[in-house]
Amino acid sequence: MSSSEALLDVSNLDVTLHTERATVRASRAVTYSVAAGRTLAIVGESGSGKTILNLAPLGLLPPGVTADITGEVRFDGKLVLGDGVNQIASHRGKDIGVIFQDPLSALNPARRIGSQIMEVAEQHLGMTARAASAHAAELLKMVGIPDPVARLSQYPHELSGGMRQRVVIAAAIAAEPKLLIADEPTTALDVTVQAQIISLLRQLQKRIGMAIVLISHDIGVVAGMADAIAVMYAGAIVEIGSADDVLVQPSHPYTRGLLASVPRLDTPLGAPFRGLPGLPPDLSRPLKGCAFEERCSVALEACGSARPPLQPVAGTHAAACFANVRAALAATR
Amino acid sequence: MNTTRRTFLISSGLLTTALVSGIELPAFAAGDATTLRIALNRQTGNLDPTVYKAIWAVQSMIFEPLVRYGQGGKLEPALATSWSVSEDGKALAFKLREGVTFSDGTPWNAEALKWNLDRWIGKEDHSWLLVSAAYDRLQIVGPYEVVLHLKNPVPSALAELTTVRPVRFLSPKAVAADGTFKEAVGTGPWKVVRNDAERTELVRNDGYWGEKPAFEAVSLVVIPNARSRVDALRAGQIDITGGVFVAALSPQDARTLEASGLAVETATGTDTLVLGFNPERPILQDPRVREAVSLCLDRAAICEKLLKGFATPTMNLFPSVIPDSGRRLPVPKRDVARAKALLEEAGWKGAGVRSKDGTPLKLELVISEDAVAGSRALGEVIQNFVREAGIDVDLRLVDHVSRHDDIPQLKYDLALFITAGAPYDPHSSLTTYFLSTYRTGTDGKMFMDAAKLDPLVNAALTATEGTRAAAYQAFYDWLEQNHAIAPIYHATRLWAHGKRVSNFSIPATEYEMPHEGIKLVAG
Amino acid sequence: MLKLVYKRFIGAMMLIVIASVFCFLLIAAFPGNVALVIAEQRSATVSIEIVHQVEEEYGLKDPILVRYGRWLGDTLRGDLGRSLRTGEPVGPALLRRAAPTFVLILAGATVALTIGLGFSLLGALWPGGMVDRGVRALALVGASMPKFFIAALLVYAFGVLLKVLPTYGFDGPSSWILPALAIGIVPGALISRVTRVALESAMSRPYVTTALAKGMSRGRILVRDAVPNVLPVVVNAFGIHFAFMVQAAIVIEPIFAWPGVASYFVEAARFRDYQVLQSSLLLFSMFFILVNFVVDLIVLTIDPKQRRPRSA
Ligand SMILES: Nc1ncnc2c1ncn2[C@@H]1O[C@H](COP(=O)(O)OP(=O)(O)O)[C@@H](O)[C@H]1O
Ligand SMILES: [Mg+2]
Repeated sequence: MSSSEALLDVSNLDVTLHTERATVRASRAVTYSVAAGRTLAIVGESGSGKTILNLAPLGLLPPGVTADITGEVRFDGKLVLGDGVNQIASHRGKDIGVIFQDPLSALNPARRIGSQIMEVAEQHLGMTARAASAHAAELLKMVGIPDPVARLSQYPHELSGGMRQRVVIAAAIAAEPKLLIADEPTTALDVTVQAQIISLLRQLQKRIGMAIVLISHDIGVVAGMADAIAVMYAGAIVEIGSADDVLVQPSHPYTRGLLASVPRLDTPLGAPFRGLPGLPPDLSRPLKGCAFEERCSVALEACGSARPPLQPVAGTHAAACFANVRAALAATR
Repeated sequence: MNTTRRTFLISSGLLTTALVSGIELPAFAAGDATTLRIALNRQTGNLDPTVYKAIWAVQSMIFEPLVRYGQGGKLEPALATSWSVSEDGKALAFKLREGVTFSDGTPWNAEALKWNLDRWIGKEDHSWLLVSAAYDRLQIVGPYEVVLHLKNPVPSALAELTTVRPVRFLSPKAVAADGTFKEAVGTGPWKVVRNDAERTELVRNDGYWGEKPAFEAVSLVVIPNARSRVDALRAGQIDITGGVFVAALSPQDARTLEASGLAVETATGTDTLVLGFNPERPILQDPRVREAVSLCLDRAAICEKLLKGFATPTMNLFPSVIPDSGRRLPVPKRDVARAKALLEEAGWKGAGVRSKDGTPLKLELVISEDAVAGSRALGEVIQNFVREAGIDVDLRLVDHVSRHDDIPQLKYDLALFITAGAPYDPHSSLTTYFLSTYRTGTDGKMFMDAAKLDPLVNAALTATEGTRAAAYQAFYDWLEQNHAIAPIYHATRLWAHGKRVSNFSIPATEYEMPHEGIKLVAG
Repeated sequence: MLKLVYKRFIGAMMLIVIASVFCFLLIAAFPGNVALVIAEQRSATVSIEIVHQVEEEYGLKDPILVRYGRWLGDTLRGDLGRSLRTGEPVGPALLRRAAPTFVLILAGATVALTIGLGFSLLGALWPGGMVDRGVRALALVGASMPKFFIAALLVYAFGVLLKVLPTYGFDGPSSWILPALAIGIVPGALISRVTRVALESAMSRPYVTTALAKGMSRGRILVRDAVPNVLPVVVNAFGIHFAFMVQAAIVIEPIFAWPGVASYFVEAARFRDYQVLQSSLLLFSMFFILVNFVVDLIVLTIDPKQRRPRSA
């Protein structure tokens, strides 16, 4: 998977979270990369480790949580994490912007939105307050907020949820980062606003030329925008590949389940929602076999005792499923 | 929002800087070599000598009497150079000191004297002074010679004229057109330059007729808190503290100051702490009960433990420094057995709290810390002492005002009294505390017996020079024989001073400030 | 917003009226005859006749309602009467004595605020560090330590031992330091604890994660993001301690021999000088109510949601 022109190259990343109550293996042996200017979508059910995977290496852990991180992260060709190096945090805000799931709480309620955007430009672009203010107004305009100059002096509570997420985005891209991590940027918003935000992200990507890691639990949301998709389950990537490959030829039963649960335009209203049955495993317990085994309709005997490795399906498309391997074997026979 | 917060931060920063930069360092601690600093426990107040408000000792630094009360009650010339009392005791002739002026330049003479007397003598408010009550007229013989005529002889008249108010002399020019007091101008060694809630500042009266002070100014600083006065003295920020009415020094504080190397000056007290019995209470009308209570008290222990040795145990109404204070009585050892025997004899029987005809031997002791400092602890000690003999004493704590309500109305069984002390005694305490015909508002009576005691009091008060000592002794003897009161101790007079002060001496009365003869030395 | 301010204002005014009734009743209902105290000023030994005469003169035997009405009327007209003890007019005396009390409370407030904000910020910057633990201990001990004891310690250290600061008197800035510390240290420590806890909770809010993601340093986040959010807490805590400083002044002023309103009150209390007591008590209550009113207003203004409700 790793390629020389990759902007972000993550290999073998293991994150173990320690809280007062438990120790959680939030991601294991995760390897992926994002090419400059491209979008990688990371999808998976809530709790599958998408957020931790992306934010723990940046040092953005939830309060009260510490993490052991092993593996390697290269950013822009440089080793920024692993082998005794840990510099990734210094890229925060400057080369790497982050958008959070909940725009309502991501903004400081006691500060004007202008200053919350301006400080990024002041800090990373060395702008004066005046220049940063102009820059912030421009950014607000760019993210589609009308009357930007007046908005600068408003407080978050004076804006709607969608507007607030636009503000968060404006702050995240204020220093023109090379990589934008968007953690469920639309989950907390109305459906109509969701589409607007996604299209805004696409526009911005074009304009600034940044790579995006788009995190979502809803594969439907990312489908239209992603160049590549990684599917996460229980802290590990179970399938990864180009968007076309993953969407058209889902090779892991979990991916298929996710796709099947996306409501389609032609689904009659009121039809039973076909979500995945069952619950994901508890990550604080050790796992012997495939994490998906319990919920899997095609599980084999081997699935209970050994963990299936990520195996190429075709080209860059890979999946971690014994059933797949067998099917492939059967096909070749 | 941002700007207001910034302004706030900046201004509080500025305030802090201002506070810090305003600090001028230790010049104050040393004190300047020309100013004596004395602590006051309260604001001096209105210095008008005819108003009962100011701190006496401060007034006494400014205003002078005709005759001065010297050590042991010896009368000394002041604004009068000589005096004589007529044969019948009804005319007091004074020769006034010549060449004296008030500090505003007004001459001191018979006219100034008359102006002053007219402000108070013979008036109702001041009739507690026998000389005022008996005042007849003033005869001006010459510019420096007057005779004070009384309606009846007042043997204590001269002693009364040594007191601070209302008798001392104010400049006739120191009042407004309507005669109301304007400023404190006297003939004394000090002039007032400031008098407010913080301090009273005096400067030397360079035109003073007597021996001029060795230093230029006195700063009397108000420090209401006793603990703070002790600290200020230890820190070298005041020079003198003490005096019952100026800034009383507790025995404990005196020991503390001694221990930290400061000079504590002592003098025998001129007053007496007395346990008085309400003569209207049937239980207490039996002298045996009174004697029993008195015998239960361990006076030596009280002086040693409660007063840290700063008191003298006594059985006398007055200490020997008071004129005509009588024969010294031996102080008995505590004798509970004898007390019990007396109570048995008086019909008070039984284990625990004694009783008689169903009445328990219960008494109430009124305690007022405001009136008698340290009396609460003393009350508790008394309570314990008498309990052993089967007397149950209840303590009732009251404040200044309530005491003054209860005591004159005789709403108590036992109460603690302090005699008036020099220069008022012996005549003043006799009148106030023992004469049944004299109605006191606030002080109450130590003992009363209209039939037997009043004649003795009157005889003592009116006795002439030759017979006076004997007349007083007859009164003291009656008290002793009837166990009418239980004197406990004479509290030692306490003053403390810092290292800058040399040649310190305690004045004859608590109504005067130590300043005479004092020298300020460096360090 | 304006309506809210108006409501609070009316509330404060009503409280003052109630306070005036209490101030009067509390003092007037004290046991003991005030007339005696007044009479004592006229003569060295007081006779019952003089006492009755005083009662007559001062109307002390009138029904309490009549006396309240008279007092309220006089007070509203700005006539606070004359001190029973010294005879001086109470109004000018209170005015003259306002300066030391004002300085004491203001300097104490500065100390309290400096300690409160300074130490809580330091504590939040290095959680569990020396400052953090020190202030926690100080707040714990301080809360149970009487003010006079703190004052005594300060006086002993800086006056008696080091001899660098005046132990008494109201005599320029150097004389302000010990009283200000004595009155401000404990509130400062308590404010710092409250603020510290609030800061800690603010620092675990999502907007802090956002700020970290924007590349801001912890220190900067603390000041720019956390502090604005805890300001209402700080102002409230500060307001309470500020208002209670009047009470503390009653202890502190006599210790440092400051001729302020509080020591006036203490003196008056000893001598049942009820003219002074009623007026100064009313003044204290008004200060207390006013401070609370102002604190309310400030909290209203610093909370953007209250100040600028989302209208159209
Ligand atoms: N604040 C937290 N405290 C303890 N465990 C957490 C916390 N946040 C996340 N985790 C653990 O990490 C796992 C991954 O969480 P997360 O990355 O937030 O999932 P996702 O973003 O995919 O919904 C969760 O299953 C949970 O067990
Ligand atoms: Mg998440």
